[in-house]
Amino acid sequence: MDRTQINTKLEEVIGDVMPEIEKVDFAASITQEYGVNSVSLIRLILAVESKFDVSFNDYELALSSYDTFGDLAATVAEKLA
Amino acid sequence: MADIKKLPVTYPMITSWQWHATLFSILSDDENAKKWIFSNYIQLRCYHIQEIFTGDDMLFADMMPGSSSLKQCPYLVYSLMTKEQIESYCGNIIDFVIKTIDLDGYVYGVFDEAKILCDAEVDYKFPHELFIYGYDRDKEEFYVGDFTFQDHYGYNTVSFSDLERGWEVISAKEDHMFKDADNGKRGLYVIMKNSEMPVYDVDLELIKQNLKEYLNSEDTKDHFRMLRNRFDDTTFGIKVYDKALAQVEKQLHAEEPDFDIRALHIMYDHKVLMYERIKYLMDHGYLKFNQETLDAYATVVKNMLAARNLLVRISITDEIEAASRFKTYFNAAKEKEVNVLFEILAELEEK
Repeated sequence: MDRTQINTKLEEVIGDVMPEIEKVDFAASITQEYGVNSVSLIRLILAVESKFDVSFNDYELALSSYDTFGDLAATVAEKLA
Repeated sequence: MADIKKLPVTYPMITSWQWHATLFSILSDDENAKKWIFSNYIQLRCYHIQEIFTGDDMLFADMMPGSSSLKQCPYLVYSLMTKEQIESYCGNIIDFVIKTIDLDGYVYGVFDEAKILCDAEVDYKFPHELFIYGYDRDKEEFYVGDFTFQDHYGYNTVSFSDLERGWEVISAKEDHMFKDADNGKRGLYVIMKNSEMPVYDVDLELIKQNLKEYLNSEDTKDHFRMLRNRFDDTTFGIKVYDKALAQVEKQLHAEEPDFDIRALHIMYDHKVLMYERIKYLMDHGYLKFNQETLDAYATVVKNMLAARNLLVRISITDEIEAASRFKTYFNAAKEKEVNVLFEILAELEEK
């Protein structure tokens, strides 16, 4: 799966988990622009695990690991590689 | 009077409880205040209470100083205003808040946030502390800091009318900031930053004493008998780990596991602040710079965060079997923290 496909699929997951987000900017701050918090990020990661069939370890649940949705996409890409 | 005024705020270093988020919003960036902040907030304590909204058993944990920090911090001028005073001086809450902000006073008090959040009439109340730091007359909005609006601490706006509704319906009994200490009154706190004159130095003696009491889980309440002598059954220091773990295990084995992770939030914030304290003491020559010590304490922070986040995950997925990993992270944090802090205490004792 290439990065564009990952982004498209991730955008769908974000839309499901965070329906209040109308358009995903992969470079924008997830906390300041989208109000993502530690709990909502974990909900999103659980959905990502299911959609991409990947698993995140417990340290990878930290909000500080992801400034942007692009960072999350990069982590997914690493796991799929 | 200005049309818009915002008093300065910085996103707080720690956010676990509204009183900490408020104090750190005002003082986080202030170099004088850091000397007081890093000399305090070392001891942890916890005790069981009935949750204010649900009545459920809750393990209440906090750093010391706790909610009284707003009164005790030497860099804040703190005034109580009763509802009667507010109405007598200004006629209504909106004018009082605007005039207070015009005089550089932050406002802090209990409002019914159910009235603020819900457009429709609701038959329940959610009394919660709100921190108000600015206003916009044109938009008829106040600038506020709170947890409720985004499920985490953030800065938002509340309309004048919603704030007024949230204020009017709170009774003295529901004003939990006033009810214990102020004999059935209700009202607001006015807080002014007053940090231009340095009045507090880094207190190595206090830091050493607090570290000893934290590491030995010593009962420190006797230091504060002048201020308070009604005590709950309190656990102090490193033993807070044991109490928190016991509470998590109790929740894990409940018929319908329902996790209250607030004690873990404060424990995580305690580690974040301790890391910043160690770094500050090294940066300012109170401790020798030692990257290994910083790295070792960073793993404490990392493991406490992993423990907290894993519990959030378990609470969503019901993967109860993952609880063994929670204990591993939690115990690793405890063991490493004890080792690092004993080393730091030994170095401070040599001074």
